[in-house]
Amino acid sequence: MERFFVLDDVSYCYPGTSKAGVCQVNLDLEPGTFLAVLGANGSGKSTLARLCCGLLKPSSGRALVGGYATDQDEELKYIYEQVGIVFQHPENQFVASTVEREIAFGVENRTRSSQTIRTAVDEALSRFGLNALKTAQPQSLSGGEKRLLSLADIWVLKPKLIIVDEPLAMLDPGARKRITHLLAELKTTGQSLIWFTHGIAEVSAADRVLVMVDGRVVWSGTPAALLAMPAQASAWGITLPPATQIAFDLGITKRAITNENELVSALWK
Amino acid sequence: MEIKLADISVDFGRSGEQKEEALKKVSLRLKAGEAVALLGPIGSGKSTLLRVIAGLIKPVSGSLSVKPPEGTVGLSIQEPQRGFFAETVREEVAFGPENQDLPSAEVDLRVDWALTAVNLNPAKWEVSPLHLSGGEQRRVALAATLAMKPRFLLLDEPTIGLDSPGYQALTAVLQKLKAETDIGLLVASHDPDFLYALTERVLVLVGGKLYVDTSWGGLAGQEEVLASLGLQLPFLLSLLRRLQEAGAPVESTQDRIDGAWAELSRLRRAGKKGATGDE
Amino acid sequence: MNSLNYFPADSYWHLRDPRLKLLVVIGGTTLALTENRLGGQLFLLIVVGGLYLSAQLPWKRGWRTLLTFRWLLLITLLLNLWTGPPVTAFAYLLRLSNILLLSSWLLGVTETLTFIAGLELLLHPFRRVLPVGEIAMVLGLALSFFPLLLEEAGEIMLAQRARGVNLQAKWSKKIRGLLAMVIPLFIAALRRALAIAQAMEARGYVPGAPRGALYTPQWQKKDTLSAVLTLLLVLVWWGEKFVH
Repeated sequence: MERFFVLDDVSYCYPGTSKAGVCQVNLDLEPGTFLAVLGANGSGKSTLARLCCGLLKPSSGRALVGGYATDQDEELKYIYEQVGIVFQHPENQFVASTVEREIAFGVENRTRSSQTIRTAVDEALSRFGLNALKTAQPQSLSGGEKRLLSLADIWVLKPKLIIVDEPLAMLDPGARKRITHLLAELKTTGQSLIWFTHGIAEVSAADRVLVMVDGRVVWSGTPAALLAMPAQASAWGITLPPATQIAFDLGITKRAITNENELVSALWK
Repeated sequence: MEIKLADISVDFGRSGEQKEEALKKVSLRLKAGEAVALLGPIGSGKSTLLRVIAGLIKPVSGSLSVKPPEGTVGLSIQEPQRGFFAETVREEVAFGPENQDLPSAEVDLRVDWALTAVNLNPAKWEVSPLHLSGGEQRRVALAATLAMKPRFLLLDEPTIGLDSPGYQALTAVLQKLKAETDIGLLVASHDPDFLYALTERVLVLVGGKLYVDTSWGGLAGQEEVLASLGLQLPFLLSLLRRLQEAGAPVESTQDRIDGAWAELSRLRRAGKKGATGDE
Repeated sequence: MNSLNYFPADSYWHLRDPRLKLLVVIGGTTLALTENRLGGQLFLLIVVGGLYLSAQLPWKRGWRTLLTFRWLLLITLLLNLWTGPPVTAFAYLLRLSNILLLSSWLLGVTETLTFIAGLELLLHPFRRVLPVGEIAMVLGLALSFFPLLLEEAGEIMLAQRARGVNLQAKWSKKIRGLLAMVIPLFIAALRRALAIAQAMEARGYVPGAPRGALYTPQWQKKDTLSAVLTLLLVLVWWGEKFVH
């Protein structure tokens, strides 16, 4: 059986500048998995994200999506059909003047049937709660709404793999919860998710975590396992949940602390 | 030296697409040497308030009843690296003092001082600012404002987009600045933990209205009000409250973060001695 | 109220196909360009007034449009007064005014994206010579880009003012100040352009490939009727000129 998503010794070097590249990353993703890639800014996360969806071609090694290779130009369109990427600044990817036309953009690239387009757009509007904002201008939406729209844009194309880069940046707590919930739900429809960020707290529901430092993958395991090694995680530049950070700073090492309640119990029984 | 605002209102109205942040009758007072937090959700008017104080926006009504003299207020906008245009970090930082018509010897001194104050590796002083990491760029932008030697430093969401190392580096720089100079600080952010680490007084601004103007200790007693406004207490303060509710003997030395840490350390040691703890 | 923006309303003209409205404006502009008599231009002005009325556009909009282009109009008038009889000069003034008013009318009754869609459909016959689809896409993108860039420019200007930039200062400072505004804006624009291009590619956009559309302008009977009437008006007008 064909492996769905594979990175085979993939490397990428930015020509000229000293910007972080990616070095010999290996990855094998099962369908329906939630993978988190953690790393400080500049660790190569964004580069890797682009390598995963075909926007960048590897300098060496191969990236394969559903059997298609990203370095083959003729195969790129099949790859784009299967992978959707949502970037860090949603306003930089909006192409239309109204929310519904924005969602329609991707579908319009696939079919000429107005009916199909209409149905798909309506489905996405419903799923992401954007019906009331159908005719609003994307740039006038709030941060959380923009994020929802950028997700809807991709979701409407029903990709098998969705890649998100810092999806919760600049969102208030209410919006963060909503988006996290929505992303976690993707698994129920068999879609895979790769979530790039620098904080563990937001990806605690991930099936697996990779840690990147200076372009290399230095660790792989579960979120719980990573939380049990706060000193090492900190050294790698990863943002710990506040309770974990404080527990670590206070010298509580016997057990892993992941939230406020556990910390309270640890400090005062 | 102080700044006083009386009943400032700013109303942009809907200028086509962009929702501008309005201010509704905001009054406050800032003294030199004070470190004040402006806490509020994203888009609550914090940026607008900072710009009014910096003299960059004129209020629709109300006034700066005590205006700071020209050039004494330094404002660092959100994502300040957007304003980079020079070929090297040095030139970028020198821009502000040059605009102040200072002799070039003085400009150089200022640049050196500012870049040292933000802890930027001297090896990076001659590179293009665009080649630095996000955290370093933030510090360079801060240096650019500091080099103008303002008496009041206004920071607009300085931690947005920073990862843990960048965040810690910035906090350390600001704490050192506070300790070594008598600069007045007004920091606007939606991150209560960052604010708690730097300030003693907190103003809560939501929807353009100033709801609270108190110390952190005072804020700790208003958790419900905060929650209704969509905000949270700094984690340390919240933790101390939970501990207090669980019966721990917490004293109220909570106005400053050092106090909160001292409390927690004390409890930790007490818990250890209690033997049923985990150590 | 901007004199060149879409003016939301439910008039007869708002509901018409954008191609028809383009045709009306082309017809009107052709008449304006071929009519040399003052009386003729005055009559055309009344027709344009009728268009504004039936589109529920306020007269102020027309006035504002002319004000926007006042220098152009003034220079035209003065040049022509200098080189010919006053009657001709005013006729030319009205000619220019009519064209400007017609354009403003068009932009008032058609939403920009619909306008671009209409333009694309009209240019369809030329698709072998011109990259019609891409032109439409680029126009649409530029339209959403532009306000963003304006906003970014505002932010950058504010930031540089906070660093002491004063554009009224002496030359050397002025130039540095301008660079401090222009370079960051340029960088921001390039960044955005790259980001949008990548996002579009990743969502399957292939320049030149056939695409669907959520909304396609629908040509209705009323549009045919209006088109025929416009054509008749133009023919009668010309016919009348030749008779005289």
